Amino acid sequence: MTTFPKELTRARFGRVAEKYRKSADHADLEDLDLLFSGLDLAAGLRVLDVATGGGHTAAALSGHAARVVASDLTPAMLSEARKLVAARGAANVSFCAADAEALPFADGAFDRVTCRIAPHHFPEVRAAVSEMARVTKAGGRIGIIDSVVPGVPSLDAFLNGIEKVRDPSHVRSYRVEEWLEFLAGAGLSLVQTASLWKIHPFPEWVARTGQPPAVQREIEAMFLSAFPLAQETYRIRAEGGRVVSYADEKAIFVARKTGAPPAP
Amino acid sequence: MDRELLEILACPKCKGELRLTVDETELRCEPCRLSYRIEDGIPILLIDEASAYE
Repeated sequence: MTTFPKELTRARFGRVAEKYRKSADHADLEDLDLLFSGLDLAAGLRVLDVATGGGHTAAALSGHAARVVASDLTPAMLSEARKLVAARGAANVSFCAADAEALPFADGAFDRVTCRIAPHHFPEVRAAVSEMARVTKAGGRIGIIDSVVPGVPSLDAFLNGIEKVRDPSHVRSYRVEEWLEFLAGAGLSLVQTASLWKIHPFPEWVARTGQPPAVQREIEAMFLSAFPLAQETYRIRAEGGRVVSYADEKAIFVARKTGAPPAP
Repeated sequence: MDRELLEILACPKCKGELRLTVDETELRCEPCRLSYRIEDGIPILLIDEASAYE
């Protein structure tokens, strides 16, 4: 695997970093309530938020942990995250530019690790999950939220196809079954899963990536010409020939790193 | 540079310890001979952004 997709990710998120801090989609924290309940957060814990993006998850975590470290591949994104965290008055968040597939932390450095709506950008998602497991203490928990696709190949191809056009740094949104395999493959045991469908107002969603108008129109055309099962599954709403909104599924996985905690 | 963060940081390549330079502008991994810059207080711990040093 070359580093090309990562350069693409960094270049793209460097351009649109501010849009992600201000994004209504990313600030909608319904999924975080589910994630936090599974993570069994407690005062005194040290938490890592991988690929923090606009910093929404790190900011939310800061009130439930002693220390939060927010990492992202794109330094410009961390500047935006730092603004958001400062605006919330959180003083216990540190920032670090890091590649999810080569995390710069000692083994077992964290009690909890989170990663929200980002793994679909990782070229080697198994390597990232394995790194998250490595930096988690034995007995610690990892919480992952990402977009997932249904097990029907045509529906999988439809949404991943659209995401790729919208955002060339999109690698793949996986099926839930694939995620279960990634977690098991990293030696993690599943604590809980949940899923929710998230409605995306189309104009903001398509504008956020900073794609030129011609590409935005192409994406809209793909939604408008969706086959009936895709229209129904993704709740594509159109009015007067314009897409109003669509929905996709976010899955929430909480897994535990098994094994005895290290001897004192 | 945040001291608590410094304690848990490791070289992204070899996962070994990093040493903060005296002027606090870089973190160095001696075995890898790699230097990671600190930009506006944020350590840039990306292997492809590190510079080799003698």
